[in-house]
Amino acid sequence: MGDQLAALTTIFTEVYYWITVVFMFLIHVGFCMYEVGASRRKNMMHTLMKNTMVIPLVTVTFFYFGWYIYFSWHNGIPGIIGADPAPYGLTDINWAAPWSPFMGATLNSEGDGYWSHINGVFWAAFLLFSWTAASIVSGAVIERIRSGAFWILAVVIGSFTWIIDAAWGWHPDGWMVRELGYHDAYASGVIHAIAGGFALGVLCHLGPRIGKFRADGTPRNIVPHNPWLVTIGLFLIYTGFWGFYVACNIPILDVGEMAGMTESFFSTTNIYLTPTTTSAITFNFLMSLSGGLMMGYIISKGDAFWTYSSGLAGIIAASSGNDLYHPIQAMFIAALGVIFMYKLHFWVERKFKIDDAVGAVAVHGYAGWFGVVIAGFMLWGYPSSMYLESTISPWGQFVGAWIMFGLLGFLPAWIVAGILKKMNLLRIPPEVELAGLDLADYHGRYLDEAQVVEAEIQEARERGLIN
Amino acid sequence: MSTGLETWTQNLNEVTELYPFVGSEMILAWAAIASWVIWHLIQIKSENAQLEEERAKFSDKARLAKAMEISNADSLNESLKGHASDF
Repeated sequence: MGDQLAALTTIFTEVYYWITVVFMFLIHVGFCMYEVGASRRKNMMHTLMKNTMVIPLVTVTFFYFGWYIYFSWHNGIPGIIGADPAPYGLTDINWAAPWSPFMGATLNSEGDGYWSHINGVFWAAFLLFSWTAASIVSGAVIERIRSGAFWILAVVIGSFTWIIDAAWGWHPDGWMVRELGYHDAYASGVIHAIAGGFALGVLCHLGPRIGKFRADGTPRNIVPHNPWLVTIGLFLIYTGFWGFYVACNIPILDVGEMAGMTESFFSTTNIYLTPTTTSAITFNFLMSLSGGLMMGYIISKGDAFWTYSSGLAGIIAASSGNDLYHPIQAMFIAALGVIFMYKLHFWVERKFKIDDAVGAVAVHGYAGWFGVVIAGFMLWGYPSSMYLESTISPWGQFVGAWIMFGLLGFLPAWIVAGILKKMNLLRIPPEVELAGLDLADYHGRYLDEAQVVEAEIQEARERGLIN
Repeated sequence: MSTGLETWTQNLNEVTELYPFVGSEMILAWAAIASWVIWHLIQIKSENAQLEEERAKFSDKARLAKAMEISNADSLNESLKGHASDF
């Protein structure tokens, strides 16, 4: 890169995404802490390992095919949906196939210094979204799902279905953006609604934990064994969410030509290449967090678990339009989203006996669905991307919300979990669930621990240190 | 002999791949995909065997009752046992 402006733009963008990845890692740390804290003592290590192994499994599969799907499936499933030709042919995605030179250390492959520098960090930013999607599902199913079944499901959402929805509705050329005017700047639908819907699809087959419901069908509370771990976990998720938000942006882009200007206009843009500012999303992130927390505190009567979760749900409910909303609009939308998800959670729990251990379906699924739909009313008539004529509308967003929650979230999970259940691979046997998953997995270590104490006492006696 | 880059003193605009054995990417990718599938197969087989062993062990009612007592100990619930009427 001989040109100084090009070099600065490229390397700034490269470092920018790298920083977002580090921040977003905290989301996964937070989810692990949250889930372990929310599980009972007898299931802690199983819960931890179940979520930890999302990291390598989703990473490698996102390398093998996830990144490729993002750039090649804009028109829906290739050759099946969509009227317009894709901007890239299926064999032309030379920077995203796992054998591409761009998917490794390179300075200037095919004369493209920009993608040679950006591809890895851009891939990683999307990958961290993938971990998040899988991790959201992880919390809902704790204490009774087999790890192997969960890891297959994690790959399905983390490296397949969510990235299809991103290709469809989170790319300036996606068919949902073109045909429906779909707008979802900070992923209310493309990450949260799909993950919540996916979790619900799994839960339908998985069933509740033993003892969750009384004989009359009313639910019992299964109390987190460590509320402090839950608290710190949720704070870390909030922290990582900052990285998530800025990772949804392109930090510096000349949009002057796309806008029809004769001179350059450098701006931060959202994923649809329309201008926004980091200040705008910072205002809105904090105001929607606050709206969610305030409403969560009131509606749950100060319950710590639901107040924290409502902070998250508040951000999610406003995320679709948080590139454009006024901060006070974001705050009120967040509060409304919290009422919606909180009421729906308890209704679904009682009506359908759904045991969502951490409220993931509600916080991510219902709040995400709400966020997409409400953006259709708030941003009615806005252009959906920088250079398309389609506009945002309530019906486009409503259809989009169901595609995210239902078509790409609930349905694939319901099918795959159903197959796993038929193969007797989905749920832990009841005897093991009752005994505790850690007692089953780690009983050898516990026995060793007891023997070590006895051995120490014996050794101390032999040395005459005790009687 | 060199497995890749031979010198940095050249026109850097013409330097492309930095990793060794350029040209082996396709083989690497398919080997990696196969290893991923094999990993799942091994993991599921191992988990099934372990769970079956545990299930058989805990099908003994006395052993399961003891295991539940141990694994649920030290919880708030346990401490509250016998004090329900106090709250």
